Amino acid sequence: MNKLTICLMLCIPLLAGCWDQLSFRDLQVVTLIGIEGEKGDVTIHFSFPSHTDDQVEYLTAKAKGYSFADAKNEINVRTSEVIDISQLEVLLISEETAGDNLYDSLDNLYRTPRNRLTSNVALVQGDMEAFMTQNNTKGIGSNVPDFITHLLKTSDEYSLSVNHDLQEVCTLLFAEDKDLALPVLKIGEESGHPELAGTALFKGKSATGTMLTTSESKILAIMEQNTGKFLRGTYEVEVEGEEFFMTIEYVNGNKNWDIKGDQVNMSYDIEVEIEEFPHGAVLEKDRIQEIEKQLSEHITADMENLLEILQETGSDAIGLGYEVRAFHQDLWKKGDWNETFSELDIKADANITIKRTGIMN
Amino acid sequence: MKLHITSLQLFLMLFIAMTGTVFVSFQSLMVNAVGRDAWWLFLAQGLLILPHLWLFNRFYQDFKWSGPIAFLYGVYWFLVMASFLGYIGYTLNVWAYPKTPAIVIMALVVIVLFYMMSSRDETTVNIGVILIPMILLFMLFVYMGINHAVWTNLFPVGEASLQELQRGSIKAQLPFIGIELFLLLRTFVPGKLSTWKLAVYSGIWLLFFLQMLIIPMVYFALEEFKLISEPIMYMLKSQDVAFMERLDLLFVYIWLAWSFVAMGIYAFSVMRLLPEKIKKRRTRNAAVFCILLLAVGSRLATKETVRLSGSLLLYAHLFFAVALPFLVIMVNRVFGKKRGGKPA
Amino acid sequence: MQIIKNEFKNSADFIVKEVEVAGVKAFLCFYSTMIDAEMVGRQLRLLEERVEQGTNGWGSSASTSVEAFHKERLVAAICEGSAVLIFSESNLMLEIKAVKVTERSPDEPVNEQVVRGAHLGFVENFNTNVGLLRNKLKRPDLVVESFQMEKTVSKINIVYLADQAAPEVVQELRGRLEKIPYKEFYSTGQLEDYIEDRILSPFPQFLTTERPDRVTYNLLEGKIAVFTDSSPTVLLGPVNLFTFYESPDDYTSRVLVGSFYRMVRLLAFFLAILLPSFYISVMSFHSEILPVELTNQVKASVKDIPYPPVFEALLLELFIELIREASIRLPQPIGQTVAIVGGIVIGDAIVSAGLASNQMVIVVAMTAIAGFVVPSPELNMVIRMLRFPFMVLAATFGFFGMLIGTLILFVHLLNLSSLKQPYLTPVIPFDPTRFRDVFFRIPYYRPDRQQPFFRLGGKKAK
Repeated sequence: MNKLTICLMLCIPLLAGCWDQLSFRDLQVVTLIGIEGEKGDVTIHFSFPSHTDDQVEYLTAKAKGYSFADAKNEINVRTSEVIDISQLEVLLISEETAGDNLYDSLDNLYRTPRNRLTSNVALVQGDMEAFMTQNNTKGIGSNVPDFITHLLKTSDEYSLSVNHDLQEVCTLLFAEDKDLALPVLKIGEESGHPELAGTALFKGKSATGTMLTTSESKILAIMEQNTGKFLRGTYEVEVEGEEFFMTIEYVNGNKNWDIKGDQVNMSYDIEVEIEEFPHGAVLEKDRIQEIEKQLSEHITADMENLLEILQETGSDAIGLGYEVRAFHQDLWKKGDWNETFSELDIKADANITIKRTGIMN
Repeated sequence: MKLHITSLQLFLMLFIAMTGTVFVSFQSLMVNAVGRDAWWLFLAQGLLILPHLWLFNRFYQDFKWSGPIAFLYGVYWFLVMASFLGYIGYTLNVWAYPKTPAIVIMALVVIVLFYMMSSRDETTVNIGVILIPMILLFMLFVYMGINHAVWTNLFPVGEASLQELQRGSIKAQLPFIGIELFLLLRTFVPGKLSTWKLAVYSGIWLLFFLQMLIIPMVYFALEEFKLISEPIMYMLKSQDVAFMERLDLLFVYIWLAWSFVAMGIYAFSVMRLLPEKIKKRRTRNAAVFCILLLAVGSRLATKETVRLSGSLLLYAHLFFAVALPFLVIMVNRVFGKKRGGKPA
Repeated sequence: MQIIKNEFKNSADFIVKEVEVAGVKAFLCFYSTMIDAEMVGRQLRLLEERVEQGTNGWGSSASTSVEAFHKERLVAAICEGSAVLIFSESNLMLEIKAVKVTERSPDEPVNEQVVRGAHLGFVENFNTNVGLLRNKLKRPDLVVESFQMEKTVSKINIVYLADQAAPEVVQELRGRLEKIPYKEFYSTGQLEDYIEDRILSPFPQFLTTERPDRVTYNLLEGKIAVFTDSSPTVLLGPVNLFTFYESPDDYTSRVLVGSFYRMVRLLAFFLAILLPSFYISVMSFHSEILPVELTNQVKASVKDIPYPPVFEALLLELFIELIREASIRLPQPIGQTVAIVGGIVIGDAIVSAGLASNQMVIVVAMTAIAGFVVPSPELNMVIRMLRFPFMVLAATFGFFGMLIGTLILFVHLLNLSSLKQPYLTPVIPFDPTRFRDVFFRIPYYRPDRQQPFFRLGGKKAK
């Protein structure tokens, strides 16, 4: 009996890796994926690092298939090692593909346990191929996925756009009460490498095609109360009959949404810090009030403008639906929230207070 | 040798047996049944645990572990374990080991269980302690999900229909499975057990499950629950921490260790129910038990059977944890009085 | 005379002489190699003086005793190194204890050095050793009990503080010592086998030390020390796992520093057992848990390794064990050279030869160092050994295998006991008063709050 046990124990190492062993050595780690095409005819682009001696080179491959997973499996025909997308850093989706149901392209990523859910997602304009390789290595180096990751992180940090990882995308796709917004990348005309173009708005599970500019995205961030580390904007103010450009940084803000019937009043109290004001000292009672009033007007106008765009597209990116669904069932039950949202009478009102003026008065 | 355990050990064992396997998955079942009302429904139901335990504690001496009753409970606990085992096999297959045959995974689980069962009693009683730091770690990382929480997801309440509420109440019984272990374990604790200890235990239990329910609810959209069967694991998977990816992989194993210990406690209880004559031969009993368990458990390792055994278990639970104990206690009390003897 | 000689097989160093003491004829027998001749001479002279003065009890003094002649007693006394004077007429024998002891000075043991604190060590003589102890513990309840092994002369002594040690534990040990069959002992290791609870467990159930200060504070905690006659090594029991992680340094250093290093050592326990298997699991099963930022570097160094990670790890581990073993056997200056050459030069060469990856070298080196952190050499060896099964499990089932291994290890530790005391106290069964002591070095400013190792008569946690 004992001998048998010992024999069996000795056999275990021989079993090693019979089943689920997936040696890291044999994997080809993919860090950037681009999806384009439509249902039934999907093209995926892969970019992966290849190590030769001490150099890392980024290679690309592409494959076609009926769906994302189909194309992904197809790619193994072309690569020497097994493609592994568990280290995916950035997922790029072409705007046209996102126009269909976005979840179609993503299901495989959620369903397979090995996949990473914290990768960044962005839409792209134009030719996908251009994003995958970078011939002009002077600007950004050859590590495109890394570059894009940092680009997205930075733009999120400066509130230029929103940044969602895969899991948040999924939650927002399924949430009825808030719509997804994703950053859009383009190839810069001058620089020749990926740049932020704006923020794409979604309605339900598909992209609407409407894109917010970066300054509109900033206002969205304020209204959503989801600002990045820095949020800066420049406005024109008139002091003593002279026009100046004033740059302010967002410090703090409070929202107060008042929903009555289909009347919504959104008022914001925003505290800002002055970054640039070439006129000189600001710290005079009347002047401050005057500037605050002007800024409030500017920002209120921006907000109204943003709301108009959102309502036109029927995309509730600010998350008004959260409140409505939770506390105003009568309004929520009127029908599809996206439709209701477009028909609402929404007023915005911003009240700016200058909290700090920098180290100068 | 008569076994004595302290009240602390009793509660630790009870807590692990009750939380053990189910806490990663009961959320989906509940939310799918009653939607946003799940949390208050569970809160309301959870408050019942205190009177439940109080009654058990008050009358446990009237619950005689006589032959047929012991046999029934033995079989029931065995089936609970088998369904846990099946669930473990299935879950591991899905989350981490798609190619390894489920039977191999289950065999390894059973080997550990066998070792645990053939050890001293104290080992099973005490092994829960090693889980405590892991449980705390688990909670910490689950709480990281709060960053992305949407609090309004908890509202509105009161939308579910009565029928849905009924269905939800039954699903809410899942975390209660194992409460009847108290009846057996209580007999090993000498002396009185004060009510405030029960209250503290109930509080901890309720708090644990409530946050395990509420955090996923505020994290995921309602629709997602239909897709996700283990919300807690899924949440951990989507956490972004600097030192590693895929937190869930690590926590699947903590959960697994947790389930191991829970099963060990069930097995310990079943062994305690055996008639004195065959109780002595520990190793043989454990071996027979484990082989049986593997045989039954391996039949249960598919998605369908996992779901089926889960729902059957709920009804069995209602019978064994609520109906039967009170019936037996009542009968014993009535008969006890008729014979003129004081209730023991 | 010849009879006596025969009894000792005519050994050349056995000497029987006919002498005359105070006018009475007697045989003086001794091993010339064992006795201090000068001492015997002095004793004989003193004896004559006392006989002449007609003192009562002329035969007993601090180093002599008179008994009726008894052959077995004679043999035992001579073997112990006494000179025996046999008065054949009166059928008496006089034993003169004059063992010539070759004894080294009580130097600090090489493998248990401390930075601060006493630098004494036990020697190969029991009497000296107990003397060292009594110097530190000047209290009457320091009890020495001797166990004479049947037919042999080797003696086992247990030393404990009667007021601190739990009587049931002392009784348990006594019982076990009495049950030991006839056997010569050369080492405490042999003895350990007889008094352990579980011989086949890899974990040591007694703490061995050669330091009087270590024995002292362990005695104060209520442990029992087991001495053999001719060995400087002392067995201390009952122990728990955490005892092995306490170093005398903890108590001579400052509170915060001592606590910090104690925790570092406990961390090292897990590191030393689990680190290589963790690396193997990650490399061969769960590469997806690597942070994205790390993948490129890891991939670059792993890419060209021809072997699976287990073999890589086994190769390096084997290599480290070889270096360790070699540097112990070699004289000290050369030993260090070997360690350096082996560690640095060959380690680097292995990587450039492409037999193992950089990461693996880091992992193995860190594991080795973590293993050496343990203050107790026995536990150190156990830990080094334990990581091999873990590596095999990791290579077979990844994290799942590691989990299985860890659980089995814990169940084993829970099953284990030392002199019937649970091995994982005070953590399991939980004893809050001593629990802190595992992780922290508790300050001594309130000595009344110190807890003895076992609470006398207190309720026993089950």
